[in-house]
Amino acid sequence: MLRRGVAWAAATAVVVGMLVAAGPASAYWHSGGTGVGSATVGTLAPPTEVTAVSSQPGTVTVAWAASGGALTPEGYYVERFAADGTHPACGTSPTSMLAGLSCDDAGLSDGTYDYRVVAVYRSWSARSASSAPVVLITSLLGSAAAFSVLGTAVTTTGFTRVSGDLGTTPGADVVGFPDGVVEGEIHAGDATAALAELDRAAAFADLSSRTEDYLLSGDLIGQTLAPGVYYAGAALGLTGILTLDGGGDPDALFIIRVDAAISTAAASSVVLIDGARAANVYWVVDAAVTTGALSSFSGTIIAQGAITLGAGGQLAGRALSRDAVTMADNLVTAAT
Amino acid sequence: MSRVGSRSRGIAAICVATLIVVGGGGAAFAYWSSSGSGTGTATTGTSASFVVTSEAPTGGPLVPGGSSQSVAFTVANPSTATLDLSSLVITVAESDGSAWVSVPGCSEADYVIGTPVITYGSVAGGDDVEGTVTVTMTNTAGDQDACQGEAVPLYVVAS
Repeated sequence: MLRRGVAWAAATAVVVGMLVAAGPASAYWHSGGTGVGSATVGTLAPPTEVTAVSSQPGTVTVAWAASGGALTPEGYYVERFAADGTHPACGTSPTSMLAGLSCDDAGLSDGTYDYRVVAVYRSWSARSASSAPVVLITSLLGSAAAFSVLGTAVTTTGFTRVSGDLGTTPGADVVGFPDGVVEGEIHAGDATAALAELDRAAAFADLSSRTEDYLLSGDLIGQTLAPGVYYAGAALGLTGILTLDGGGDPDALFIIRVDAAISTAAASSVVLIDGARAANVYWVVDAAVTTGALSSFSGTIIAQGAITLGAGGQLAGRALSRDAVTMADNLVTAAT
Repeated sequence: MSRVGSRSRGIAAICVATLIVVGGGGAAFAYWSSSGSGTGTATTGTSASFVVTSEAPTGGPLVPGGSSQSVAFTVANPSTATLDLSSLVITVAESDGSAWVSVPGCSEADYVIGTPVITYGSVAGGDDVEGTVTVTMTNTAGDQDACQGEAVPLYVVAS
């Protein structure tokens, strides 16, 4: 009896053990499968409308429009491209950026430069297109480039306004300021003016040595001049409009040498078009220059004789004379 | 002798019954027969593959160190059998699972894939399960400009 009970118990244990060992039956299949998806990455837009202008001797002012798009840059840095390569500009770098939209790149020597502005957002950057080239020829004028008006004596009547420096040498006569206004500095007979005169004279000599491409004579009214070196052996006049056409080249250089005087009539004007810039126009005159009342003249006048600006006239450039400079209610703006 | 034989037969019967229960039970679950009544031959099912599809990402485009995008996935069981979904692995990779190398300067290392949010478990035949995963772009010390404007491929393995 006991043996029979043991046998049944053993059989039951076997059954239970097998049931346990069998485990629960799986109610599903194990399977695999693949698929694809994607995420999208944004972009940082570059700055646009980069401009570079020679704002004062040895300095280029760079300006740009902010990056468009949804992503606002953390800042900008500026690159200057020159013949010898690429350089950081405006004291900026990828780790020292500007929040604004313009800067001055100072301490430059003569040369042709163009600029790019780089927007930065964290590890991203976006580089603008290049600016139009800007040409610096400051050494042509040397220290005289800082002067809007330079002469042995400077006199004005009325409310003349001069954007740059005003200097006299060897005399110290500066008359009419105020009411006249000098936005730069007045150097009346000081060493700065004396040095500027030396540089003016050197520039005159340099420009006078340039071989002419074209000849000019008489009244320039109605003429349109292309870039180049022009020469007139006799006096020139202007009774209307003279056009200087840069031909789309912002570096277009105009040198007009005259071995005699220049005089312009009232309300006459020198018009700059298609890239021509007052900063690149030089009137190299071996005698006096007289502009008419309410006239508009452009470029740097480097004269051995006196310079007289007609009443109410404008000069976009400089009046640098080895003689006196006389003005009357004039506006003398920077040659840009 | 006959009593012993009777006991032995009884034990044997129990064991056979057990084997039938255990083995037969397993066999029963290994058949995936269509539901309903009637007779028919039950056949052994074959394991079908999941079908994974995705939606367009939501959230702003990725930027270095910026907020994440969310990508919705659907893991479908196209078969009639119930399948077990126990894992969903998502990586930045080409559509064949190979490394994403088509954009020089931009790679998988520029992105972080979050843990998929999905309910694991059995997926009945013809049913599907929806889930999401987040993608973020890291802001590295290096230049990541090459990543700008790219579509980042995601490769999903469901198992």
